[in-house]
Amino acid sequence: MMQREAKISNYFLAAYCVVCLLLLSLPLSGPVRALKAGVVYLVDPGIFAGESAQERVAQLPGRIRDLITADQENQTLRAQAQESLWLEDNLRQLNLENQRLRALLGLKAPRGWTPLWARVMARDPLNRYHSFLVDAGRDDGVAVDDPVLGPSPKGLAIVGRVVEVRSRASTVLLLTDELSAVAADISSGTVEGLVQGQGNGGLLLNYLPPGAKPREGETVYTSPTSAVFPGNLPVGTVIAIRPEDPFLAVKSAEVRPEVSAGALADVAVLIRGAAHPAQSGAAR
Amino acid sequence: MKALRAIARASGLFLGAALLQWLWSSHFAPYGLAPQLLLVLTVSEASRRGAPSAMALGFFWGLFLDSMGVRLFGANALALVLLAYAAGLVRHQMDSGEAAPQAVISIVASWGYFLFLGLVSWIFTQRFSWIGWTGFVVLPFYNGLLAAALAILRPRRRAW
Repeated sequence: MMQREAKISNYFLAAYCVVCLLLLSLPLSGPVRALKAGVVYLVDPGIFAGESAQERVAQLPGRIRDLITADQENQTLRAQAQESLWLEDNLRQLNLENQRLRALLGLKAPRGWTPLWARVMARDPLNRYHSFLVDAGRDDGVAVDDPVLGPSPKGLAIVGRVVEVRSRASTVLLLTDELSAVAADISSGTVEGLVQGQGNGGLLLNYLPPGAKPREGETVYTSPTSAVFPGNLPVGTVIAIRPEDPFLAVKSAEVRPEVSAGALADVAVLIRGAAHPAQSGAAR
Repeated sequence: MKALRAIARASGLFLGAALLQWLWSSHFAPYGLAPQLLLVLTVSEASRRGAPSAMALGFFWGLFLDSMGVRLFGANALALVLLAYAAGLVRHQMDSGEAAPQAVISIVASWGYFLFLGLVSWIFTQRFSWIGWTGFVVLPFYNGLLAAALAILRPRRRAW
């Protein structure tokens, strides 16, 4: 019995290893992309349904608490109508939500772009500095390389860009990922460098010319020369200047991102040009 | 009939665990720390029912995890398949279905999993994908606790 199981295990191991190595070796081939699309097709509806159910479950304790409170007050004060207390509580919750949405909608997107607000739907703790999934996709007008911004004290700031688009969801590559880079200026606007993700939550402003004098506390903004991101959007703040390497003709500085991607609940995906018909109202 | 029941059980376990992993890691992850439920279940399945079924589940769970990322499609699948195989080998040497052995195996498997993913990333993208010292130190013990809890709560099944 054990020998039979061991034999089957060995065959399965060989087969699965071959398949996995093929998937890893040929990531851009048609069959591999078709397989990934198939897995996504099977999995996405479950995630959407789960997100909807989670929101409903999260509201339940508040509603139960409100019902109990209204019933107790109705028993002690007959004059106070139960409905007015219930409406007052709903209004308070609606006011809080209204304030939050107003704060988000009050942030202005760069000209020539239309912001589409989306919720961060799924994030893998092992990839918290690399990517997350948002609930806006092709049906909403999202395309690959669309910039993604998040709210910050300095307004909308860079979070990353869209790298994969599905019909109702998109994968966002964060700026802190090692493969991310954006042309950037320091706040004086006189020198341009390249901000690169480090894979550990930090950024590096690299390739500054030798004459550049970045200072700690300076804000880094996207450069108007960036091919993907609009110009003059906050990227982060310089926190340390790296010692100059005598063998390199460039300088670099460590940058703290303006937006902590791990805490984001809502992001704005910038879509080029006028509003897509599916986005009437922009906010979700 | 038995085959249909097995397929239904496997499908239910796959979907339920995948959704629970998504829910836990997206909504209940303080400081970005959430246990690898799928890793723990793969090891548990291998210890209880043997490597073949665990490798199948691990492969598809791995594809689910890979579909949430941007690159290295197949890395998590390969890692979980290898873990299932290794856990199946351990099962032949000792009774690994109890809480304590499950916890220890999960802790060791977690470290191996993180290092293996980093190695695969280094081979295919020339960058060692590092989870960070906090995750590397804390998550294995988080997984171990979860494995012990599952071992206590799950009813013992007859092995293949």
